[in-house]
Amino acid sequence: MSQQQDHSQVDAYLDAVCGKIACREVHPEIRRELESHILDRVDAEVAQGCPRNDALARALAHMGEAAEVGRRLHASHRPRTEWGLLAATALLVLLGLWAMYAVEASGSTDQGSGLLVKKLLYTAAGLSLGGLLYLADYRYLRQIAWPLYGLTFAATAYLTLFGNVVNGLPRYIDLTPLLFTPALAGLFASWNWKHRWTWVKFLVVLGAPLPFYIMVPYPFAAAEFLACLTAVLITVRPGRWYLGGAALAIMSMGGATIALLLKVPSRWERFLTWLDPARDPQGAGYQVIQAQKAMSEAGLWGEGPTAPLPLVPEVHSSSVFPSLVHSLGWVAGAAICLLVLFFLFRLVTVARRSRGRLGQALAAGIAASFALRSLWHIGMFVGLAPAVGVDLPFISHGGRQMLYLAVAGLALGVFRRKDMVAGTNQA
Amino acid sequence: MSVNKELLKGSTVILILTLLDRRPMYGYEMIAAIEQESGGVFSFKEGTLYPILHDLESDGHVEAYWSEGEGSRKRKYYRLTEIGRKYTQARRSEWDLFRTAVDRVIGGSQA
Repeated sequence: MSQQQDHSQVDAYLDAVCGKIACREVHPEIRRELESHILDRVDAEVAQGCPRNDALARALAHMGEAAEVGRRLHASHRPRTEWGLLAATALLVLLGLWAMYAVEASGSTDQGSGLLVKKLLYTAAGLSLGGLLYLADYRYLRQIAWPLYGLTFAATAYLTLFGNVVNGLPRYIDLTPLLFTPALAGLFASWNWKHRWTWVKFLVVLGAPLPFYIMVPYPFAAAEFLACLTAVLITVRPGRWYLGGAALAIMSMGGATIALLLKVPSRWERFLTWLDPARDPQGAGYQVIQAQKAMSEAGLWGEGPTAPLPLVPEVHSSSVFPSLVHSLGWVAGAAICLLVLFFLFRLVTVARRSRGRLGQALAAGIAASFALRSLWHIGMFVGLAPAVGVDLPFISHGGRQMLYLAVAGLALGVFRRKDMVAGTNQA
Repeated sequence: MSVNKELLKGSTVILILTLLDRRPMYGYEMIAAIEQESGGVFSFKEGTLYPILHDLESDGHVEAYWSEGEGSRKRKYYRLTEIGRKYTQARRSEWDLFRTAVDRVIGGSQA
């Protein structure tokens, strides 16, 4: 038998194996792996004195039936579901619906009726968006990373300079870090960090939004941007100089925040009120004082959904946690904190277990964003974070919830493809 | 002499993990080592090794990398991760427990 014929027999075997594996992307790697095995076996048979003609037939017989091998490999490369993350997200969304129902039923909002209906509509839209991102191949991010970064940067600049200001804050500015995150993941995962000029790109990407974030009296946006950037950066292992650069940026933003605190009287006042809300019970301290009153009334098992709350501003959005505690009680409040932690923990799992730098970077950035936002929201009411109006993902009211659901879908999509991605490292 | 397929099925993973605990190996190398060290008792359909390896990789117990072998033949090597090392220890003590229990039952009269 000639080498040529050998080859076509091996190919036929590999075709039969791959015919059973739906994920085409892993075919080339599986073919190479099995082929080298078969050829090794042929060599061994020949070395043991088997005539070359029979060696291949014996090698293929040793491999086992192609269809069976293919079926089992198919099972190894199927889409995966991160059930924990999915369940946690679903529970948080349900809690959000409950919260809207309770806020409406207790008559403690100035938002009028229809909160629950609107929340249902936003949830439906968010789920469709998240579903699309879940099914789509997240690796398109590499292609759209620069445009996405540019657009988000333009939005950040525009909102800061010309945006609609509500309560001294440009609207939607707090959403920009979450939009930067996938862009940063796409960029950082594609860059060659050994290249001489990468640090220039890095400094531009890191530094460009910071002046705008420092202009708004809202430390959360800068904190979230830097947290997400750092999380993404750590997963792509760029070397310590870059990590040092990120640390330096964090310190200088911290320094700038403190300097502004000392220079701008209104910021200093807010800072003092954070330390002691009772200083300004009718002004900046009002939200926290009222929210704490509502929570302390709740008792272990809550007042029920229809019990009226003390007047708490933004009870449907940036004060939604106290309103949930009021209706469901302290035990449920603790359980909700645990649920949030569980959700974050599953996101970290996605980051650790997905294959490839992009998936890991993306999941890590998303985890950082949700972590900062959720913990900040809850922290506002226990004195651990300044009350600057941060909503609770999946639970609060508002159109921005669609974005959170979309991003959760993106993370689930990363995990879905974890065994469908080619690209084993070359040593 | 060879052993019952079902008997072998339950122990394939522990055999593979134990081999990889010594050093990184590629698929054919593992098959050859198992065959040789078991004196030819353990021989199974070689293609079914790869789904097991890919599952171990998916669970984070092993990681894979391509490397040049002799000539131009490329090989996909597997090595244990830190999680995999702990997992191997757990599976080994499980196996020891199982083996002792089986020995105690079937060898009970002689013991």
